[in-house]
Amino acid sequence: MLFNMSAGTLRARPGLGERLLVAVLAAGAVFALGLAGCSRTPAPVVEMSADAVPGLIEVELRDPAALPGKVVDQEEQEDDLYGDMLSSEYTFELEVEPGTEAAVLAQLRAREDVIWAEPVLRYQGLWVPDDPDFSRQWHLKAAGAERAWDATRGEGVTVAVIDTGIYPVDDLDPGRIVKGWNFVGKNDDARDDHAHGTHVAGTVAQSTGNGKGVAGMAPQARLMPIKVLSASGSGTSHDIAEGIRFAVDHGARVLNLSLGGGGRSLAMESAVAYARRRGAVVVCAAGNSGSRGVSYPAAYRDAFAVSAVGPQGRLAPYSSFGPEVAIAAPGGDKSQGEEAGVLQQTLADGSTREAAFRWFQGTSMATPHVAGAAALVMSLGVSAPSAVEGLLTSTAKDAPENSAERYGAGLLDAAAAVRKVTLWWGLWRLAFALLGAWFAIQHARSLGQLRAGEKPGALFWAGLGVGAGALALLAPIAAERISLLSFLALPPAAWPQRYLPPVAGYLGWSALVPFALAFPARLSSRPMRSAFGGLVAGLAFGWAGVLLHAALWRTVALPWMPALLMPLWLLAGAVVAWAVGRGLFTREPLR
Amino acid sequence: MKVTGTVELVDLEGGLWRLNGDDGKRYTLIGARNKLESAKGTRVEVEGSLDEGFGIGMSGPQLRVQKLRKI
Repeated sequence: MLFNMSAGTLRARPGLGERLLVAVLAAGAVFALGLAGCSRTPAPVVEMSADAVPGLIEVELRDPAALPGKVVDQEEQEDDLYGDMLSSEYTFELEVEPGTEAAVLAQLRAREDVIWAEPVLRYQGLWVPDDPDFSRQWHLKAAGAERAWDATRGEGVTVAVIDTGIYPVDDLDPGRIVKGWNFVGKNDDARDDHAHGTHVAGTVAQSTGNGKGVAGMAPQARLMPIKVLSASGSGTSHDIAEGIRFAVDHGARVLNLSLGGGGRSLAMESAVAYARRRGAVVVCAAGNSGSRGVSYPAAYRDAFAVSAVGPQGRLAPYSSFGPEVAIAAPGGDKSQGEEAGVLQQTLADGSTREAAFRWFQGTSMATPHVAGAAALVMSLGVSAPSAVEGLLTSTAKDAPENSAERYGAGLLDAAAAVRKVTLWWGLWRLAFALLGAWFAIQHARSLGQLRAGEKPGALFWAGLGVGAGALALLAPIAAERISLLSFLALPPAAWPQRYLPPVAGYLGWSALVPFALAFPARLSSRPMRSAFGGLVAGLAFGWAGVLLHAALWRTVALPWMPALLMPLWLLAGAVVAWAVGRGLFTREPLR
Repeated sequence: MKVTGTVELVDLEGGLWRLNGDDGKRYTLIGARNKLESAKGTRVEVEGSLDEGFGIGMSGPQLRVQKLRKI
């Protein structure tokens, strides 16, 4: 069935199912190419439209000169990387009387010194949350949450908030708060009696889709409340270390530690090292000293330290900094006004337990933006802490000033991190899979197992695409708008780890599945002639591509597997998966 | 230990009580929230225990308030 013979004698024409598959795959490929290319297609000059922000205009000039309206933001472009600028250029954001935008634009465009002028457009992701106060959460937008949500909202990842506890306020989905522990009171009531932990939890995963309040970075992630700080907001190194170990042992993959102190506790240091070894990302606040010197636990080698920036992306005056800082994220800067803080729902007052929406500032508020972003990329099947950290740092935006001590790798951009996984990693996996398949086909030809003109059919390529996780390329279209389909955003090799207990990760991150499926396929004398055989062969090559990518990019961590052996395990799996696919070209049935 | 200084409510982490000590150091005050509320902005003498403990403040040593007296 699956060979299109050039002589055309063995079968007359492809069946309807096969044609449909080809059509769907082709449409998908065209769409993916369109997505990849859309940023490069020159679009018509922007005019006033429904997307335009009323009263705002952006203009670029050769020289700063008198401009109509009030300048709200300006930038000088002098870093002439390509040597194509004759002199500095200046970009201004102007506030004008709403309704006069079109007239002002026409006037500006007529001027000699104006390079371009256009309305400021409101960007909308494919998926927009329905929270009425989402528009006031500048910090989520700055952290790149909006566009990241097109591909994932953090399904399947548990984030432990190791803090003053979490109070189940009405804008947190109670179904997403898992069982935690109260190390202060030594009981299982880990509800907040302060306000800090609930605010932090809100930034990680405040509910959306409920038409209420505000949103969080990873609204579909689960929250684990670990209370280690008392109602006064302080706690001991012992309780914090215990809390870290408890969280990891109970399935948390991201730990948020919006706390710190000056003392270097060895108990806490070894707990942080344990957590990372067990596959958790430990995100910690750099501290609020406003000076050089990162507090502990952020300063530990295995922690991921976060400094805080304000709405313009500049280091907040209170933020600590130092060589340990890994990344910067919005923590608010209320010296610019109340609304320049981070807005979440929390307790109005620890003692009354009434909920309220509050603007907080602090490196504690920056940290959960990073923890939420870590949950987003982990929900895409990236499980090695070093890979998660590497994704976040390598995709960080440039900071406004060149200072690694203040900003680490730069400003958090969750959308860029997510895009790197769904688009670039997706393409690498597919490329590896295709290369493996091409090599196997050539080899089979050279041995006469495949005659000239014989080629694998549509189901082979469909299997390869699915196995390689090519559906992830389509993730920005639908996967996360329909939660049940979110598994499509990650390759099948990652499914067991995501939906089953951690040890089941071995089912996916090995050649076991294609290996097992190949047995029934090889019972027939020409496996590739059967629909099932072709599908399994394709799946095996796809699987091999994913395993090879995971080995080279070191994206996976599994329980008990030492980090050094992990790539070798995956590489061996890739070789076996490839051999399984290659074996299906045989003309001999398995005996 | 005893420290004298001015009590301030700093808008960090949802609100931190801080003692700007006459010794030039900044202490994060822990506990006695009701007393601190009435002492806001005034000069006080605080008797308490000092620790390098952990908490949400992350901005200097923590002083656990045992006694607080306006001066």
